[in-house]
Amino acid sequence: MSFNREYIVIVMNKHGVITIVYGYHPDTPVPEQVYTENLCYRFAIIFETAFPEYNTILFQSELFIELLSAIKTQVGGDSIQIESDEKKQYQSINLFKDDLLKLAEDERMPPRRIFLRKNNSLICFGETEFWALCGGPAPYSDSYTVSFYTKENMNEVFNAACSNVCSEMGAIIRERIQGLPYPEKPWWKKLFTVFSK
Amino acid sequence: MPSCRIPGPQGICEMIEVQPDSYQENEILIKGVSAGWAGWEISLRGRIALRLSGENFYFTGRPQPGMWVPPSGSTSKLFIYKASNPKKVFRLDYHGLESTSGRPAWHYNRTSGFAKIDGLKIADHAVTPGAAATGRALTIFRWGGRAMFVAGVAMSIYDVYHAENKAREITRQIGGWAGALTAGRYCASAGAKVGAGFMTAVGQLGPQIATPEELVTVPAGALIGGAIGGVGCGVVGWFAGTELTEIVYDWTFKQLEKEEWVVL
Repeated sequence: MSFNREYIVIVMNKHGVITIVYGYHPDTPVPEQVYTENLCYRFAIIFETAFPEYNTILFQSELFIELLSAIKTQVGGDSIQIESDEKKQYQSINLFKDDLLKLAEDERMPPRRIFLRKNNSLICFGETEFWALCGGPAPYSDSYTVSFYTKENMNEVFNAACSNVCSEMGAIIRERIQGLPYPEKPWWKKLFTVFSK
Repeated sequence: MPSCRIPGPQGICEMIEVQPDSYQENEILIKGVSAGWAGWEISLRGRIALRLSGENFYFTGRPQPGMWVPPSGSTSKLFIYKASNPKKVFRLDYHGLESTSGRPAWHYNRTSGFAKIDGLKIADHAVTPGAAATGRALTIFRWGGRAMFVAGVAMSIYDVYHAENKAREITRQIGGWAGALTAGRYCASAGAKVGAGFMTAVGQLGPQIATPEELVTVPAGALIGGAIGGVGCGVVGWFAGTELTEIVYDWTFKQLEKEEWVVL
C-alpha cells in the first residue's frame, strides 16, 4: 500500500514542526463518533515531540492553541468543548489555554477530545492520539496526533488554517501525506459485508 | 510479609500487593512476576516494582492499564512508568527515526518525571548501544519462549496421539506440565534474583551512579535470569512430574494378575 507524499526539505525549527495527513492509515484508531455522527473525513495534525534542545517528550502547546483557534474560526463552529481528561472540560479555548500554560512546558499534554458545534449540531470532532506514550508506526511514531473528523471534505479549510498559523509563528509543515479516503475495516467486518451482499 | 531483595536471595517471592509504606530507598522488589512459563514469561506479562530516588515505578514489557494504546498495539518493548501516573513513562522503542534516516533503531523515549532520578540524563530519542543490546535480547527471549511453548504443546499432542493407553498418557502429560510449571515458577524467581544481582555487580565495576543502562539492564537481567532458571527447573519439573504421575497411575490402576487353577 503506498501513500502520496509531498516532501518539503526543512531544517528543524524551534518554533514547531508538524506533519499533515489527509485521510486514514491502516493503524488509525477510529473513534466511535465517526460512525455514530457520520464524520467520515479525517484531517490529522502530527505534532513532533523530539527536539534536540529538550531531554523529554515535548508538546508544542502554543502552536496547538493557535492552530485550534484558527480551525474553529475557519470551520465555522459557534461553540467548542475541550476535554483534557475524563474529569476536566472547558467551554472555550482561552480557559483551556489558561490552565495549560500554568503547567511547566514539559508537563503539558494535548486534550483528549474536542467538540466543535454549530447550532447545537456536531460539525467537527477532534481526538488526540497519544503515540508519544507508546511509539507506533510512521508517520505517527512518538507524536501527539490530533485528528479532526468532519461530515464533509474540509481539507482545504484545514490546510489554509495550518498554513496561515505556521507562517505567522515560524513553524514548519514537514510533510503533507495523502492517506486512505475511508477507515480500514477489520477483516471480520469485510467478510460480513461480502456475505451480506 | 515476605519479600525479595536484590542482591541476595531471601526466600520464595510471594504475590503481594505493592505497599508504598514497605518500600525503602533504592530497593528492587520482585513482585508480580508471573513465572512458570519461563520462556514465555520473558514476554514480560508481569511487572516489577522499582523504587528509584524515593519514587515508586513499575518495570514491564507490556502496556499497562492507564496507558494509551491503540488497537494496533505499541512498538515499545520495555516500559518504566510511575506507579502513580502511567503516562509518565520511560520506554525502549523500535522504529525509524529522523536521526537514523528512517531506519528502525532501538532507542529510548521519556516523558517528564524522570529528570530527578539519580544519574538519569538520557535524552529523548537517544540511540545507545545499551538500548540495542537490550532490545535484541528481549526479542530473542520473547520469540524463543513462545516457540518453546508451542513446541511443548505439539510434543504433548503427538505423545497422546501415538500412545497405546491414552488415559495414562494424558494423565502423564498433565503431571508433566504441572511439574514443569511449579518448578519453573520457583526457579524463575530465584533466577531473576541471580540475574539482577549479576547485572548489579557488573554495574558496580563502573561508575557508581544509576545510568540509564543500569536502570534497564538490572531489571532486564532479572527477567532473563528468571527465564533461564525457569527453563532449567521446568525441564527437571517435567521429568519429576511425569515419573510421579506414572507411578501413581500404575499403582492406582494396576491390573490384577490372572490366576490359573489346576483341577486335581
